[in-house]
Amino acid sequence: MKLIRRQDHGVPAAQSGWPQALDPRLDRRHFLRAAGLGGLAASMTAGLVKETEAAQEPGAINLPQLEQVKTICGNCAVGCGFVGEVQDGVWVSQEPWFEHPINLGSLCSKGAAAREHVISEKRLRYPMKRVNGQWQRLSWDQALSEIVAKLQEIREQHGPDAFMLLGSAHHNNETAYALRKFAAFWGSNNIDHQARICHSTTVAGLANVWGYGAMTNSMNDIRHSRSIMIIGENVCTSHPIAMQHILTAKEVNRAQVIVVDPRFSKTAAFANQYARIRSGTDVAFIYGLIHIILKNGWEDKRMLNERTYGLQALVDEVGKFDPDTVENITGVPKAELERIARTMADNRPGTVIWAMGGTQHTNGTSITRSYCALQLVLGNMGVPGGGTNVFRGHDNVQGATDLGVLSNTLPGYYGLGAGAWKHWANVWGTDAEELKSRFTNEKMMQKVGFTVARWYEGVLLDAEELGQDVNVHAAFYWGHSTNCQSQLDRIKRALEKVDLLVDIDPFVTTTSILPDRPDGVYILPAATVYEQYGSVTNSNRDIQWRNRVVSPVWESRSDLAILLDLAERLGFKDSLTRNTQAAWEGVPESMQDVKELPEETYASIIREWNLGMRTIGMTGQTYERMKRQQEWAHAFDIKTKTAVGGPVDGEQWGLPWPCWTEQHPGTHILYRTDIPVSQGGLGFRARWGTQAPDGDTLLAANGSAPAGSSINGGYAELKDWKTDLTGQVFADAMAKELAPFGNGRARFNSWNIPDPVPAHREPIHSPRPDLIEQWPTYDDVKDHYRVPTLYKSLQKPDWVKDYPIILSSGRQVEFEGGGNSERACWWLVELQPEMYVEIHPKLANDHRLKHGDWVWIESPEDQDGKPSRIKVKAKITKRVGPDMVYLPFHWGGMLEGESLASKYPAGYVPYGLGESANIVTNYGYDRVTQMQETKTGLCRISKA
Amino acid sequence: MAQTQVTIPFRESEGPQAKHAPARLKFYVDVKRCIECGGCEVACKNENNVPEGIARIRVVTVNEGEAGESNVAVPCMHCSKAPCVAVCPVDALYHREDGIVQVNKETCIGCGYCLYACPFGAPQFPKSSPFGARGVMDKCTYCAGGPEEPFSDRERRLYGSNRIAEGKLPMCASVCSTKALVAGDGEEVANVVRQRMAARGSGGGGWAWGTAYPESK
Amino acid sequence: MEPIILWQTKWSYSLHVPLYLFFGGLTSGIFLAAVVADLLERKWQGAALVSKVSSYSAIVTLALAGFFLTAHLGKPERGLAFPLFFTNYDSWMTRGGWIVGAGTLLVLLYAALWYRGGAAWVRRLVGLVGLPVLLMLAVYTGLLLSRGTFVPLWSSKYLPVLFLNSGVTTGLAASGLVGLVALWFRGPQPQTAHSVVRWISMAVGLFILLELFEIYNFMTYLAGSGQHAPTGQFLAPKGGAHVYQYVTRGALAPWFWWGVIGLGLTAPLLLTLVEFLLDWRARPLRWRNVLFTAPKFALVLLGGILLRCIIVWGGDLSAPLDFPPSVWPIPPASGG
Repeated sequence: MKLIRRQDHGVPAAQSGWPQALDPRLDRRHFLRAAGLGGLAASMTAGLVKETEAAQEPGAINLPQLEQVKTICGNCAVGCGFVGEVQDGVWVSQEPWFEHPINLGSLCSKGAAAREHVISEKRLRYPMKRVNGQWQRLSWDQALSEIVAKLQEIREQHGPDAFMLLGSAHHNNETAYALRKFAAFWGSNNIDHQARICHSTTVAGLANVWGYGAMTNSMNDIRHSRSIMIIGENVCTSHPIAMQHILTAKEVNRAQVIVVDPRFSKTAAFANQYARIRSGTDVAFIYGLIHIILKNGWEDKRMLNERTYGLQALVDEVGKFDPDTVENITGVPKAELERIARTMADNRPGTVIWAMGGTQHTNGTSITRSYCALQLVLGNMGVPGGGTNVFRGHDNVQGATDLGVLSNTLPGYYGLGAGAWKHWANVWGTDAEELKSRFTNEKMMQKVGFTVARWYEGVLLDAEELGQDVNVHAAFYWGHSTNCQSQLDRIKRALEKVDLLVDIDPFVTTTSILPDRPDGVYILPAATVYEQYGSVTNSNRDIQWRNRVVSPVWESRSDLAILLDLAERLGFKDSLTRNTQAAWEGVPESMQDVKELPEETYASIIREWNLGMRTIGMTGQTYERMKRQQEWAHAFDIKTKTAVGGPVDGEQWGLPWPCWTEQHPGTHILYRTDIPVSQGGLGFRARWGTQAPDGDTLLAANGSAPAGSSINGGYAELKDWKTDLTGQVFADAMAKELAPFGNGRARFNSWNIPDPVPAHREPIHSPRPDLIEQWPTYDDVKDHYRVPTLYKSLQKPDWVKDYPIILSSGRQVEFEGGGNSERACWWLVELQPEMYVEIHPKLANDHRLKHGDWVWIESPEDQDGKPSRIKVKAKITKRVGPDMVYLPFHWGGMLEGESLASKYPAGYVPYGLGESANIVTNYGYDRVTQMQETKTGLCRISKA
Repeated sequence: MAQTQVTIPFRESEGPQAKHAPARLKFYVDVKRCIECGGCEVACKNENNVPEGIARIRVVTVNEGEAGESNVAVPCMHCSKAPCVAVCPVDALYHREDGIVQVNKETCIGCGYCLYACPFGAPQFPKSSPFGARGVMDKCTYCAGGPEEPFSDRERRLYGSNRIAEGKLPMCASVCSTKALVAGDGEEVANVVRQRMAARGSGGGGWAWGTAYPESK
Repeated sequence: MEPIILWQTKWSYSLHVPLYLFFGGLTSGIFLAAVVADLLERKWQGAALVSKVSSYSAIVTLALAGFFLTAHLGKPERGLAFPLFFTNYDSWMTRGGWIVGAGTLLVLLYAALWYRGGAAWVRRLVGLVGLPVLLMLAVYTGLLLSRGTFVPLWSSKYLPVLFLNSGVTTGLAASGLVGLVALWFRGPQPQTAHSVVRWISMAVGLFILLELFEIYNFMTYLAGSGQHAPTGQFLAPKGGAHVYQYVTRGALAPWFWWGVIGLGLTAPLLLTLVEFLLDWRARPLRWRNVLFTAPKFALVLLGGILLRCIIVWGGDLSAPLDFPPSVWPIPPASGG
């Protein structure tokens, strides 16, 4: 073939006669992205890719004609983009999306296997139900009519609160929103999703410090950091693509990477400093740092004086944590503590990154607030390269949280008060009275419901012990797996006891095969995220449009289609699909056998929540802007995420909320005061009024307002800003450069929640009984999200005698969450074929264990009065210290050494089966949000 | 054999009298960046429909869990003086003009000589049958397909995709999480290495570069 | 940082390749014995028997070599048609293919001439012409491996000589063994026939000594090749030392010490000593042959097989590849 070489790199596509797809300017960008030098050497013009492209004569080769679909990965919350290639309706390959500003084309093993979600042989093909212990195929119509009949029966007998709906962080924003609305029209607050057991303590913690409970900066912004503290997070494993930005900061800025973790994780191998702390002692560790910082006068006095409240309370608490005490509690030598404090102080701006290692603790809300305190003391808030970078779990866990798939709030963190109901009734074009008629009563309407973490107690406990009058009789697991929930053996019993169990998922999950019951279980095949349209919000609040790659395969249906079909059968579809302005577009009269809904339905749902989501400013995140950004992804700068030129000029990638109006570019970095509000500036939120109970002001000091503000100092939140549907309040605020939520102070003292100042508390199952007296856990709580929750009565100093080893759990890079879809993908299972327990060589030798031996892991008898145990293979490694063992939690399909393969429908057994770690993770729940404690427990091991 | 159909990428030097030398495609593996996410391994399988048990690229970790833990992705490095090419009795292995080492599965006799000659463990053989018949060798193609007609069904079935002919780089390097695995023309890749070295102050982080491409040492 | 060793269990202790190499070398040795005995036939009439049975045996061992060679191929049919397919004359496998091909013809011809009788000088001429080809076969088995330049154990310097020596030793032993068997069944034979076997036995002893010396040299070289092991075109730092550890102290150590050194070389050597002490010039005694000479030959053959196994299996250990020095040293973990 003839070889064509491009002569001039500078000639625009149109002039040089190149087809658009081979535009040399794009090629250069291709190269920069491919070489990973986007941020490193933007001046480099020669290309890697272009050379090969140059050799190509367009049209000379019979290239396969493929439809290119830009979409967003459906695994973790980094929000990577990629291109799906479709031929005749079949997803045939994946291509990197090099222009995508977050991942620059990169994908980890999960993202690279995205196609397998759709083409997998293990995909659920049709609805099934369990009859006499056998799985039986059903039609959708039959399945749904049986389910709805049973639901109605339960509702008539026990009322709406006998139903528990577990939503999903894999649902797109529109489905999540519709699901929350569905629960409202069903008449119960018993709806929750993975965020509860993922970052609920972060959301509650951060919201109580400075107003919003979300990641303050972004993955890309880490490129500005000069120090990076990663605590309770294994980025390499959980958010691999974020490492790209971290390593760039490390190389280009010479940023100091500090990893604090009980485990020498893969990420720790990339650190400049590593501190091995005892699991669950984060508050003590952070206070130790703050202690040293304050003692040396390294704090940012301006930040503390002008923009924070309650410093004295923090100073008093921190005073208890001198380096010796901290060394005793955490196990980190004080010299190391001082070195880390000095590093953080010397290298500003610095960011703090955490994930489940920080959140999944009984005092998780204290831990997350202590991280905030550190960043406030260092003055790292509201600056590029600073902030609290909370790496969230699932692809849309931020979005599903924002849109209120939670038992304690309506969409937009409005809560469940009368005002909240009134606002949303207003948006939905109904009135609060109509909604009230669906609930048991007004009290239950405003009462927080069961959570994901402990809903099963609503089945197992007597109704008298519950915060509601009836037991739970029906449960829907809708895109949620059971094996990521702790106390799995109790969940199993609850699943056996409920009258109706419905599992809606693209794959057969552990939910449907775990319970030993002959009938009453339905499996409904849902479409994967790649078979539905919708918007997703990644960890750093970037909302991105996810295109549907292919139509739902087999008999599966999109989640929204299933939802609307259910609503239709339950009789409130019309109410559900209506709002104060219009009805949803594209919804057919009858949902019977409708597989999916058109793109315009999702667009009209977006318009609906644009209207209502005022609190966090999802008002400017319109469908049209998302689509436009997708098309103009190449115009965004990688480091600042700001578009240069074009119709998106000045916009932030992903329009991160608050994006107050349709002209607002989005707020890339929260609480940043050096830019005007209309360009993404903000003060801290004045959420708790203007004056604290102790009389101190909660408004920011003079001179601390965002640039260009018409009020120079602090100010209260604007009147009606949360409920004004006309948008006038926001428009006025933007004109005056005012943040609608006011300009307040971040709080060290959150007087409205337990432990107003974050407190170190020993875990319930503490390996240090000598510390329990001084740092005890909480008192038991009788009605905590409708269930009694135990703290002190379970914190026995004797536990450690029989169970001397710390038990912790976490992720593997190949899997995510319950791993039901990844374990059904042999590409991934080939890389990670077995469940294991990580054991230090010393511990292994003490127990006569060799690499590959089978090990029994037993955990203390919590509520049931009997120990739980699992049988796994030993992996001898120095990753863990000699005082702990570590389990990955994605596995399922084995129970106490027995395979459950026979309980799967024939042909649906995943390639990877293993014991679920959460059988043995210990009892323990956060005092504020009921986050499960999976990181710090006790266990004993023995050779099997 | 459709040799003439295979795209040969060209390298251009700057200046008015641009000289066109054939590109020399290489891999660079940055051990200071690889995080063992497995993206390359899975992307390769996804792109090339690689059968079970065959790993055209794999990530190796050393010193796991200890100070000095490093990961490295090992594809076929497409060596300059490829020992596999030297030993193959039937010339089933050969260098393309752009430096890619290709295997012709139609002539390979499956002797396994290349397997022992390769320092990187790149040649792969399907699981052995009772009588030792292992079939022919399979290895990383640099996503350049095989000697068959580009984009033909036969090429796709035997070798996988042909991204080079499409003007794209290998899938593994394209999706690499941290841009640890870099593919492209040797000079450009060397530029990447230099940039990274400069940013880091000293030392490279490249692995086996000198072994695979002794001329660029 | 420590160099990284890419460990690859290649064909999981497959026996095909070791056996192919063994029988190839063995054929070479047997042919040598046959031709030498043939040439000595004028002096010792009994040598004719040894030469004759050896020439027949060579067909069997070469056929076995061919079988194992073909069976280990992924595509055996393409291997059999090697004159059509083998085009890379830089590859020792191609050269080996022709050597094996030519060797097969010569071995067959030589055996046919023994079978058909006829003029002895023709047969001897064929034998003399065939001898370098067949000896090259043994050398080639060593060269074949030593082109695996990243395998420190496959030294191009030591392996060809070692394999040639081992081929001759095992070949002689095999000739001696078939000679003994023939003597046993053929009844009374001239005294000289027994002498031939005894001479073979003594020669085996000498070659064993030589082989021990070579192995000692080889291992010393491996152990000492810390920095630059010129096993091939690339440098393989520390490769030799690693493989020395692997063979002499690692997983292959029992095979090496008990198998090759013990059973394969030392035990036959001791048996040679016993033979010597028992007055090797004494009249042939069947009990002595049964007790000492035959087991000795068998042990030598076993040792030959094990040597090939160890050399091939030891190829699992590739030369280590260097990591560049660590730019960001990671501090050791704290707190336990």
